[in-house]
Amino acid sequence: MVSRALRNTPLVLGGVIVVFVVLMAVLAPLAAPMDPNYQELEDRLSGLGTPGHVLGTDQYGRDLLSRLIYGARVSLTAGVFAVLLGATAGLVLGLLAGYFGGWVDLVVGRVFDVLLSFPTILLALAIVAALGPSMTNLIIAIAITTTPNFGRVARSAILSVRSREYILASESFGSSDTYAMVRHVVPNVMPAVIVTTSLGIGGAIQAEATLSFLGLGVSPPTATWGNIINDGRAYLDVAPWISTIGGLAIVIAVVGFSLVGDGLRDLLDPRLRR
Amino acid sequence: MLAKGLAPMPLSEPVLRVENLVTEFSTSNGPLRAVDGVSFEVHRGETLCIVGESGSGKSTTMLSALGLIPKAVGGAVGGKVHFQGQDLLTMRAEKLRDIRGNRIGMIFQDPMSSLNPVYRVGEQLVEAILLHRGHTRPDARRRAIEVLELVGVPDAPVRVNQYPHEYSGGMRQRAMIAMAIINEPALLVADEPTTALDVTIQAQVLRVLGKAQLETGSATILITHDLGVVAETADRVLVMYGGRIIEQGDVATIFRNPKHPYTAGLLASQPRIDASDGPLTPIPGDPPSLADLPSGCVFRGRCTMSHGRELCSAERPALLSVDEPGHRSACHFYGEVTLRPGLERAAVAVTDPAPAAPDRRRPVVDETADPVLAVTDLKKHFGVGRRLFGKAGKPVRAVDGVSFEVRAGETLGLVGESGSGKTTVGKALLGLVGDVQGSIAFLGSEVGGLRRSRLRAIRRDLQMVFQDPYGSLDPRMNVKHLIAEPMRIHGVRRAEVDGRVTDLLDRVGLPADYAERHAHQLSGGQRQRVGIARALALNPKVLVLDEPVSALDVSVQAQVINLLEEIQDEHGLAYIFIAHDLSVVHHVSDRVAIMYLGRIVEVGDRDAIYSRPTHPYTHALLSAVPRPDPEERKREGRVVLQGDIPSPSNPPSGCVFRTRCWLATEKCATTVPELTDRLGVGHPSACHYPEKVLALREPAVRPSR
Amino acid sequence: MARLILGRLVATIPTIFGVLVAVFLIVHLIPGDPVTAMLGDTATREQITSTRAALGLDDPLVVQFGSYVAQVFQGDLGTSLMSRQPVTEQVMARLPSTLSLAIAGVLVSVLIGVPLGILASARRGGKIDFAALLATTVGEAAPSFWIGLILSSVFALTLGWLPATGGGDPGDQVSILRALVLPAVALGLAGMALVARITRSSMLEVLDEDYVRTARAKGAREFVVVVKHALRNAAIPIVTVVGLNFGALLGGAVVMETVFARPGVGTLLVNAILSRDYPVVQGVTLVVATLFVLVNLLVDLSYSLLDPRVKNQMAGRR
Repeated sequence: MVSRALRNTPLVLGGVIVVFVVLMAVLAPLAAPMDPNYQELEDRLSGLGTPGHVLGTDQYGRDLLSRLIYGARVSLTAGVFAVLLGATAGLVLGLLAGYFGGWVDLVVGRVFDVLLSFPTILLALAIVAALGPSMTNLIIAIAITTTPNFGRVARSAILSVRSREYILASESFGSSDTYAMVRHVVPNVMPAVIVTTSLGIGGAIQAEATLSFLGLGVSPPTATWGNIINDGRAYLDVAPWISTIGGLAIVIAVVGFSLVGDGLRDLLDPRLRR
Repeated sequence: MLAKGLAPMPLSEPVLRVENLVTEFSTSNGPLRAVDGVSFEVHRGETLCIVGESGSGKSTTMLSALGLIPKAVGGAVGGKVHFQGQDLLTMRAEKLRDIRGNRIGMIFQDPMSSLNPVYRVGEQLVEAILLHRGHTRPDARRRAIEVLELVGVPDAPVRVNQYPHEYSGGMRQRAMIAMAIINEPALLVADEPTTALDVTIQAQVLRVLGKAQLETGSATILITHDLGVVAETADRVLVMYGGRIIEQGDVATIFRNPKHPYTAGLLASQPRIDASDGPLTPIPGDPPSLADLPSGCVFRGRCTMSHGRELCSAERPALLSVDEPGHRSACHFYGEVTLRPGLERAAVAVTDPAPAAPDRRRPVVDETADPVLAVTDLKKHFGVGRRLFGKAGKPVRAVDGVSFEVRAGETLGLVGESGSGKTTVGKALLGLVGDVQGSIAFLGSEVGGLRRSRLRAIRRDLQMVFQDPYGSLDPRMNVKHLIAEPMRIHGVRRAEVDGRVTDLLDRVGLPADYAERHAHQLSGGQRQRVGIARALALNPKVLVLDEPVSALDVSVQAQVINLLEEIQDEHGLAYIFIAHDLSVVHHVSDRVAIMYLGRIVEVGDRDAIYSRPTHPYTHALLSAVPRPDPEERKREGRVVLQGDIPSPSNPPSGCVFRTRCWLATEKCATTVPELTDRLGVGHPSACHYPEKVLALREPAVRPSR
Repeated sequence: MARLILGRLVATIPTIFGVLVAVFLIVHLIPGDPVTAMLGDTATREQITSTRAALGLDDPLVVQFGSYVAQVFQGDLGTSLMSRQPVTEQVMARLPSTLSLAIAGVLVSVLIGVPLGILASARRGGKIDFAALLATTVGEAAPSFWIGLILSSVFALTLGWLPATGGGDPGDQVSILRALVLPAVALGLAGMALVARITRSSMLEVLDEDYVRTARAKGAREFVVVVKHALRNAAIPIVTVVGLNFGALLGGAVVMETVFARPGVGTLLVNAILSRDYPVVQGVTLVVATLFVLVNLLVDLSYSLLDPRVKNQMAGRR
């Protein structure tokens, strides 16, 4: 298994990126050259490669590299917690729906339908609008938007596994419903869930960025990637690198998680299809 | 069966001549040679059968010859394919396209997936015409209807506008044949055309194929794994193994005087409807993996004749002439391949000149003992959900009143085609289909309708071997866990479990280190053995086997069948053997029940049923089974049923078989015939006119001895 | 066929009902007192009481919901707290701008994504396939508003070819179109990734199918095989994704409007959120969500056009 993992290019590439981003976030105080909120007004709006500011500064003279590194913290925290929360809720609901069927399935299905009728950003916006902008509310909002996805994945995985003959075989030996669930269904459902989680973190990072960009996420002056892009907006003509770099960070991180997700999908499943 | 009117003319120019074809697949581990130097020819009006198992290269040969393998996947890399004088392999793409569908027609195995589901059948036929002929659309449509009528699609002017999913399986295959012959090709290639079809439908389609060939006078190449189909249809035969031709000749010679151990082995391992009870002589091992072919003779790893002689591994045997003209074999020691004397009609050969194996000593079944399993009037109707607008759909009457008994040590064969309900009966016995009506008495106590928790104790003694060796094993568990699962559920102690697993693996003939493997690392036959080991784990008294060998290659089937018989003899198990293959059922069963649309139409002692059936369906089934003996083609009194199997949600009134029965009268539509022994022949059947069936005077099968 | 449409329409009723409930609840999710939140901390007690009465906030929840639904069905989405204008008017005035952007974005995503996907599937494992994979992974990862900013920076601010802000002059078709280009392309680039991926995988699956082999065996040209035989069968998942994409692009359009300062419902919404103008928030959310439901309904109905097997299933014949 490990050797196959190492040969899986997307997984390795993505894994490297993800590890890098995580390290950046965790070791921010050590990695960042200076305090992300420290303003050096004389140096404001300096470009790339300025001595002392490798990635330049924003309109308040804050070092962009440091802001980027600290931004990883916020984005990653928001992304991971939101997805964990959403995944748990979605999994439980999806498992219940798939397992019990009947009206449980109907009700849960309807709730998911309604949630999915709102474009993701809109839903997040509406929830934040109600609860007020803050990190916690951001996480809750994003979690709610991911719940139906996990729910659907879990439900369809269960339904497909339940129709397999090995479940029938297990029943023919005299297994109880619980036994079959635990021993057969859950292990076969996990791959899809793991893949969705990885891809979901990427999506959550993007969602946080969007909300912060609109001023509805984590409030300034905290450094988040979305805020950085927003900061750069007014200075797009004279200092385009501010927004560009903010976005690039997002792209790299999300690409990393995407690749890991794709790689995991290959690793965990296709052998068994063959 | 085919080309009776048009005698093959071997001296004329062959329609297709293949010379040294070599085909490779590109894989991540390098090129894989699937066809390795194959040469043959086909003449006008002649039928050539290419027969082989998995990995033989039989399909790949023709697919690559016609350029139908996507470039990215692989293709022909050497040799020549001369069609009417031109080499298809070096032809420009447009010229090849001109020939395909025009002068060469192809029929594929699975008609459901071979027809485009989003276009009407008529459109697809018209497309075939318009691609190659300058007809106008209306003319093309007329021709399409004409051809559909030729192949026997009922109501052609209406059906031509329908979609493939509105056709039944047999009809779809007819439509495919229509599409293949619509431009009157010089060569017809049929790749496993009847493998996916029911036996009675197969008989229909083979007949249509024969008719199509007569109409067009084309040369026909029929690719199959079924020796019976070969015997029925071929003029000449090519036997392939591991990508090479290992024997070729005309059909009578191949069946009477095979000169290659593999051919002889195939014939010896076939269960036969007309043979004795001797154990089958399987070919050891599994069909070869193309990535791992042995050096020298490709068959040597499984050859019981080679005795490790050096020549077999050192040198690849060439395809040389033997005995009769046109007969060739690729074996260094072909002279040693002999017929086994003893059986009246069938020519069965073995690879050693050893004396015939003794008939299986079946344990005497105690007729007076109580049956271990007694089913009375079992019914299972599957409901259909209600729709928003309109009334509820009709229920599917999968099992509609079935009764039978099984005693210790005996095998009851349950035979039927699609929609017969045999699989549902099997599952119902194990309580896997929910509520049922009627009674299932196991070891004297009623088990039908018991809840899951109460059933658990029963389940120790009543186990099932499932049909699908892929789907019935959890891909995430290794063999040890798979076999241990029943034991674990019933609380057997850890220490005991390990020992038992090793014993079971040994019993089913798998090496102990396979315990660590996962399902996808095993072959089909090995998977099925794991399924059997698992079913035996708790020492059951009754085993329900649902098509246990259908998914296996012929050479491997015999291994598993022998294993099952040994185990039964050892433990005195009762078997309920569910299958559609009449030859297999004949071999393993003591008693047989024939099912049609959820009911038993005839049940009784095996020999009685097979030799003197008293129900028209039984007779038709037996007629339809292709025998692996070319002489049998001409046998009298064969019946080919018309029409399709009705849907179980809409069974005919009265006798369910009447819509396809050539003996049906008005009474059959109004009165349901009961399952009784009207003539006193010793077993019951559900027909108002059993005497008419008996009077057909054809012993459907000559009984053994 | 009419029965079919009616049936599916009826099936969406519970969903729309759910949407109404969810939108209604937005106001009631607010921690603390919604009225204080709306009026601010300086509100006097009388103001609070009278606003409560005016908004009917003292009635039981179900009654409030009932009157809300009744209002909505009469076309009344409430009154904006900020501007005192009817919300319906405001939303309807701005909806065309957002809709046209979303539609334009979908068009771009399909026009780029589908051919890209087909090409990648035809040359599986080749350079084009790899390049497509790269482009789509990056395209998916980049936030659409960021792409909009970059495009704006290059094509509007630096090169001056296209306007950086605004929705064009009403009545002047050309300027409206010019104002659409950059935001639509930005949306399209972000959206095409999913479309291309699904097209590719769907085509690959279909190209492996037996009926494609039959078509080749009949002697059809490769182009015909791909477009006539394969694509039509591959279409269903693609159409599904395009439908889902529409929703995502609606959301993206909402954000994109702030980047390009377009006069659409997006800017209306964001401002309303920042100023706690809840009726507007509810109104916009409701309209957009309903739109999305209708689009999904259309997608659903299109299946029966594409796949004759579906028609049977949906009409109830199993």
